[in-house]
Amino acid sequence: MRFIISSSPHIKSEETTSKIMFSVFFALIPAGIWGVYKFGIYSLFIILASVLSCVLFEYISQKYIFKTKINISDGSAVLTGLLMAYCLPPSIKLWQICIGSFFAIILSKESFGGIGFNIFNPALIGRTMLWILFPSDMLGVQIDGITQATPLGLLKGNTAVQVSTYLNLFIGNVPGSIGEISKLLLILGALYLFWRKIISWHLPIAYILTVFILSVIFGQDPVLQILSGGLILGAFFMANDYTTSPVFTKGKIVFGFGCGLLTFLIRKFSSFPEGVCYAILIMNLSVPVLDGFNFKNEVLHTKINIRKYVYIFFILTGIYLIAFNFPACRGINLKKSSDKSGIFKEVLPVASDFREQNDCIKGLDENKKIAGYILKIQFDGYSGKVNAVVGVDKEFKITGLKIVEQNETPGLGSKMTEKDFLNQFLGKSHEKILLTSDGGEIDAVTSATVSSRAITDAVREGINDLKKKIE
Amino acid sequence: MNSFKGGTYPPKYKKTSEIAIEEIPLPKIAVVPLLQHVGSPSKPVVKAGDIVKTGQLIAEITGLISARIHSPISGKVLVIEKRLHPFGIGIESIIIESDEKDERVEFHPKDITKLFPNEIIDIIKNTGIVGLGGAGFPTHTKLWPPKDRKIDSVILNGCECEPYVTCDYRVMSEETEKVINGLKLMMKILDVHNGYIAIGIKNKDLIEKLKDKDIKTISMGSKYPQGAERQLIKTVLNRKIPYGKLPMDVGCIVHNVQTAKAVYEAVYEGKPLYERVITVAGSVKEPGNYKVRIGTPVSEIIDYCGGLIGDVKKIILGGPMMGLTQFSLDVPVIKGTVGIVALTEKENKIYESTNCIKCGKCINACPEELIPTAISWFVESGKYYELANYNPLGCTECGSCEYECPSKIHLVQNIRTAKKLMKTLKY
Ligand code: SF4
Ligand code: SF4
Repeated sequence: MRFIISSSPHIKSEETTSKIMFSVFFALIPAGIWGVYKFGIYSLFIILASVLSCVLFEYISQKYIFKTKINISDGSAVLTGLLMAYCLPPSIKLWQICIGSFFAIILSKESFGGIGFNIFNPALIGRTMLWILFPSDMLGVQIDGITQATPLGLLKGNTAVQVSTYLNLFIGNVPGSIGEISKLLLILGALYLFWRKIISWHLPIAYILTVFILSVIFGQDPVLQILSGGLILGAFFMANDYTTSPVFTKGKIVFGFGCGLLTFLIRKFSSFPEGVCYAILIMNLSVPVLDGFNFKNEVLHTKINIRKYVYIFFILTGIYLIAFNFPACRGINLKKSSDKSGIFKEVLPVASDFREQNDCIKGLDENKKIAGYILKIQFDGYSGKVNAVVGVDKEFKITGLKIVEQNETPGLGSKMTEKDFLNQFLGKSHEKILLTSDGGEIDAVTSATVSSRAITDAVREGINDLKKKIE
Repeated sequence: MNSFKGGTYPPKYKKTSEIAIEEIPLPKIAVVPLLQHVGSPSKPVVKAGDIVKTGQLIAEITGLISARIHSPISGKVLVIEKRLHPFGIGIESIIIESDEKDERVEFHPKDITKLFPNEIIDIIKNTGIVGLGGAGFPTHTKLWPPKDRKIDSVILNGCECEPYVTCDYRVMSEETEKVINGLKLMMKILDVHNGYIAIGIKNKDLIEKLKDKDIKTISMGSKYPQGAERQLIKTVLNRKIPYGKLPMDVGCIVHNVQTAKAVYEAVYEGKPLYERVITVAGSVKEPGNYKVRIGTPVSEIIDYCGGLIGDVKKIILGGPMMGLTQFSLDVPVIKGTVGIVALTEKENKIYESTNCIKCGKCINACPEELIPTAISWFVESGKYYELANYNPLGCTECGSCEYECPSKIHLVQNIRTAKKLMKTLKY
């Protein structure tokens, strides 16, 4: 009889790398199904394309480029593909996804030494590259959801509306990226992973708490901040990725705090609507340092040496800065707003020329007579100002209304841009610009009463002020 | 209740816990290695051709830390030669052929009320008792700590955190009196008043049985490695042993329950240590707890248990977390053998190691607060100069880290390599 000789221990837990990867995969499935249900069958194709292309690139790179052992069965490529698809908007094209997968798998994972050696979260690298390469396709969703404005000030007074807005965000009745909209299903998935002891709570909780506390300090609505955008997906599934987060609890908490801080700063001060992705990528850079505190003087498990590390840091910072300043990323409407007379003409069609005088823009007709006025209004969105341009004729009746620019986090959208809603303003004088529920003539957008009221109030008061000034 | 840091929860497989101890017939040939304890090998005092009786002294102490060895059977000494030892190496052993009469030497019971502690220690020394929990540290040495160490507690370890192993539990249930009186003897020797018995399997009847006015019985959690000395002391007394220190440095001493029973038998009955109770479990026909003579070859025990079933891939002496695999069934049972576990391929899945994914499970599982993944990585990548920063010598080789590792990295093997490197390269 032949017996095996080996070092103890002779029994091992059932847990394997691929089991962990597929557990995370399954934990994410419900949120994906919700996304497909909300955005249509094309989102399913996006998910499939992303997963398949990631697996394919992994296979190709392992077999032909890096010539390592082929282990696509460990499920890490599948998971990367899924996560990348989850943070893409439904407007992306399938061939573009393949390019994202290329960056995710070959450049950010396999070239670092494969699973366990990458320093950046591959899915987020894929997404970032897509942002840089195809900003307009990536922005698609944000244009759709652009004019939702849920002003903080108003939300505070109105509990019922507040609750319904939160609820919609929580359940996922909002536009956004495919997998990140249903916080409920994401949290259920995360709970499953807690129960399976696959993820620990330290990092996501530190992350979310940081955002919460900063929101309170800086006067933002903390619940909205947490429920909007990709924060939940990012905190539980992206930042908490084993390889690209610190191994020690202390490091995890610092990492979570850093992610929260950066997310908040990016959301509040940069022109980017969403900060989660970049916050996590930047914090990924800190992992060797955070681990190093405990690992004493070796950057553990990172095959690169410190020089390369610095080098990559600069490249990434460069990419990051470019991405921040990429004009297209700052919102397509910016372009339009520089082309001012175009917008002015849109809201005040009778005028052919515009002149700015005493803080007030006058519209002149062909005979250089005053045809009307242009009014710039601004009201508070929850994460920034929302600007709109209103045109009124000589009788101060509205001829046009256009929302120009906003920095809202995507995914909060209501149906405020819908023509039906905005068209109600046309031809009305300012006394009548009140919601029907408040005794006026404007019907609020269903399930967005608060936003509707904010814009209505801003328009009415703006015209009022203008009238006083002129008369 | 206090607990220790880290640890893991391997499955228990304690089906044999309710099977009563059964005596195994005498071996035809006993192989008695001269090294069955921590310390220097004993020196044989018999030669080939001598006739020996059961319990007769056959090897004498050498050096400071060592233990006597007694003949497990009566018969003729065939030869003294190197034989395969459970450690996987050849070790000088006394081979005795049984005459199947099992004639015993005369035992000399003592009246303990008339004995001084040092006389009791002499009896323990003369009867060759070593720790029966696995390590095999000579008991008399442990009971004679240096004068500057003040011992205030004695703990009897009946945790058996290793899966499959149940022999200590059976001994506690069946020979309760002996265990308790053994512990009291030890307390008397050390002049301490705190005696604890730590039991692993939660069983009300047993706790009831072990009740004694001088002794506290503590039922432990099911975390592994609860039965490891350092972790046990942390749990029972909430004292942490600093790295490199011994239990006696924090004022306590831990003994196995079977050691206590052996001490009792040595003092009250005059019986030397030549048999012990082991658990035979896993893929054998009749798993159970068996009383065997030291030196019985594993093959005879397995035959008595009805043989192996299925395609057994591993034979482990000891538990599956820390035990040693054997390539041959000819190895004998020694004083420190707690069990024989036979695992088929199904019970002992063999995985291929993959890259470490930095999940941190090994770090969280390590009861000694080491960073197994770092030590392993530095061994694999050849950065030996780093090892000293990670204290591989603090590892007790409990196996928790490797048990938990999802990438199935051979962490303990690498850490053992690291320990050897530390010792040889003197980093
Ligand atoms: S490093 Fe050593 S002490 Fe720590 S869990 Fe692993 S085997 Fe046990
Ligand atoms: S448990 Fe295994 S995979 Fe996880 S960190 Fe430790 S060595 Fe790496």
